[in-house]
Amino acid sequence: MAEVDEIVKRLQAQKGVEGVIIANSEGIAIRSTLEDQHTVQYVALIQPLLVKAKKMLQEMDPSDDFTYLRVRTEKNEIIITADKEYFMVAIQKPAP
Amino acid sequence: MFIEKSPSILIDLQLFSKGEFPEQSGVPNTSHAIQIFICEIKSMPCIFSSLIIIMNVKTVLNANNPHAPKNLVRYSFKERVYKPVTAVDHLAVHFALEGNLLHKESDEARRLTIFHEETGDEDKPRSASSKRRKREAKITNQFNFSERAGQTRNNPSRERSCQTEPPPRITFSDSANQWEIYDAYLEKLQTQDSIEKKKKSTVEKKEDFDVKKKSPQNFAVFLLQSEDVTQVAEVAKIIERIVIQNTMDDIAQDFKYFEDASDEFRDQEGTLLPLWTFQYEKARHLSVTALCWNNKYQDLFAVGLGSYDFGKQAGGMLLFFSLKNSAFPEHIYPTASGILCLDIHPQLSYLVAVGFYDGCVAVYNLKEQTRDPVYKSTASTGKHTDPVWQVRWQNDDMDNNHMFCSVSSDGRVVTWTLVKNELMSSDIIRLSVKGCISLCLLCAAHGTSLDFHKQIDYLFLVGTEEGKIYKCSKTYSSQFLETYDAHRMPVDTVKWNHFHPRIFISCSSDWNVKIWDHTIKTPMFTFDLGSPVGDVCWAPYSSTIFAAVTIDRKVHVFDLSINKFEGICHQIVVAKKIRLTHIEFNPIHPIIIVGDDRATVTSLKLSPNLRKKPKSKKGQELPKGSEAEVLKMDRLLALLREPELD
Repeated sequence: MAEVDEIVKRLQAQKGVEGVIIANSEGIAIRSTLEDQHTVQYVALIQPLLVKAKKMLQEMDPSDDFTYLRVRTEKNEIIITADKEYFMVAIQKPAP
Repeated sequence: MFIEKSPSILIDLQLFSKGEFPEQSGVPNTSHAIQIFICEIKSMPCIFSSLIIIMNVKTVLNANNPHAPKNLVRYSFKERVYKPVTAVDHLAVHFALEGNLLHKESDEARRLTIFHEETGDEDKPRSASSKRRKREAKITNQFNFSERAGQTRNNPSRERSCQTEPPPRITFSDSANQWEIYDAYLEKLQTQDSIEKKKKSTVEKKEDFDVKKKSPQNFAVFLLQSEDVTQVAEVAKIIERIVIQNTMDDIAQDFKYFEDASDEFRDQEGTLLPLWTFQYEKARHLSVTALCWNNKYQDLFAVGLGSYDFGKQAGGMLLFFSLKNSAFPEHIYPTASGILCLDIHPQLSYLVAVGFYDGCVAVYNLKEQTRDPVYKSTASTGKHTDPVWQVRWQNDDMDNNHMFCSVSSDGRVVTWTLVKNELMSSDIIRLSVKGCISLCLLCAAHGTSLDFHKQIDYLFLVGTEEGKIYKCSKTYSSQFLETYDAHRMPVDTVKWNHFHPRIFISCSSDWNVKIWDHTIKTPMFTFDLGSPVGDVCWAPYSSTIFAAVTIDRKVHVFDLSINKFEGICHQIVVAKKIRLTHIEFNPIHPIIIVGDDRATVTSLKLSPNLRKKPKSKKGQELPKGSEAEVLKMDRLLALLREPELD
């Protein structure tokens, strides 16, 4: 558990990173470096997106596995990785 | 008939006194003598009592209801006024009783009779006839009549019920009084204070980065501390790599795609493009003493950290970095003594052999979670008495145990075998100045570098502190096969060529890099680099390209097929006052890593001119890589040898 916290700390210290969230599969945030309200919003909106992405991949190729999903917007980039029970979100401002 | 008490009695009295007898409307006057008079003598004042006896009081009986209102006014919605009702009803009902006799011709009576006939009411005289009729209908056959009856089976009824387990209940009780409330508030205040302090310290660090100010509760809000988050470690690593890739996007793009176009105009020279730098804060005081790429995962490399300053030894570290994450090492192994050399097993890339300054050798298994080596040599198992300068993995022996060799300043070249849980050592050879076994330690030479031949297993080279290079064989432990008087100062590195079986290279602090053919005692090529040479390395993709690092911060790249006398690249790659210590080529990517004495590893990309492959004549097929390389070298050597024969 300590290494995960270290990684979260390091990530937060990286240039441009605005927030890091770890949530479990039920949609409850376990670690977060953002405000509560934002965290809950992100988690609630990202979870169905993840489910959809995984489903899509499964349908296209059942032997394939989901690794990560990047959503690049005008203002920043949202990186979502997932494993069986938890998923992790990082929001980063891309380098100019 | 009612008796009305006329209020005109008073008036009468008054009038009587005047001597008149008023007539009441509608009621004839009776004679004065026989008038009935009733008056309430009591209510009247005594003064008039005598007068009353004389007078005639008129009382009138009429059929009006005294309780009926005399003047009724009703609101007329039509005219929207209150209108007096003229005709007031004077009917008063004293008693009413509903009878229960019905006329027999009436509707209700008829209905009732029919109803009673049907039900067979005996009370009613009429029902007798209806009864007779019914009886007549029922009697059928008196002789043969048998009544049959049947009954269907009734479904057996069963009672089924279900009961769920009641939800677990706990009774919880607590008290809330002024005390508790006060305490709770105090606690909250305290936690807020501590968060404020944390925020202040982290905000100072963050001033370098352009981060917006956030409210104090943002930093590491732990919502569920009890959850086990270790499984997220893998996923977290991926995210870290992605984030870093984003930050260092331009470097990653350069690494993959940038090709220096100006190489076409530069004749034959090339350049080195700096890419990532790898550092670890806790190792700042150490210098890079060994570098090694991993064969299986070609983006992973190992860095051995220690100190070349023999007066100050400050421990060491073994770090593993990946090109994908330049901010933080993948694996960290702190060691008690400084590391001087390391080697990663060519097939089993999780086994790493390490040689220490204190003469120990150790083997680390990257798959294990511990930070300690899985094998370590001790004084009893035959560890070296001087720093170990080079380790090299060997092929497995006949019992399928892993083996590696080490060379050290105490003059011994030792083979170590990993047998179950321990390291077993066996000396291959003892180095000495005169070229034969020497029992006297004073005469022992000090080995500083070691390399095994790529194809011939038993053949290896040892460089010594005296500047000599010995060619030895594992099978001959008493004698050297050959001695080369290579340098005037300790030989820092000897390396066999990857392709050509006879060529090797050596470098030393006497500013020279020499290329040898092991059959010939004199060097083929000698290069003076103008500064003590720290390390030299052959390129894995060409038999004629090698690179060297010198203490004056330069990296030199030579390509013998292009220019036999000068290098094609001499470039300063680090800042002032930093010395370069080691260099390694990546097996597949066109990059090199350079270690320096500030525990920093810099990666550089080779420009196209430095990676030239042999040109093929038109129409000719290009022969296979290694053969071509060998041919290339042979051609070179042939050129050299001809003038020698002369």
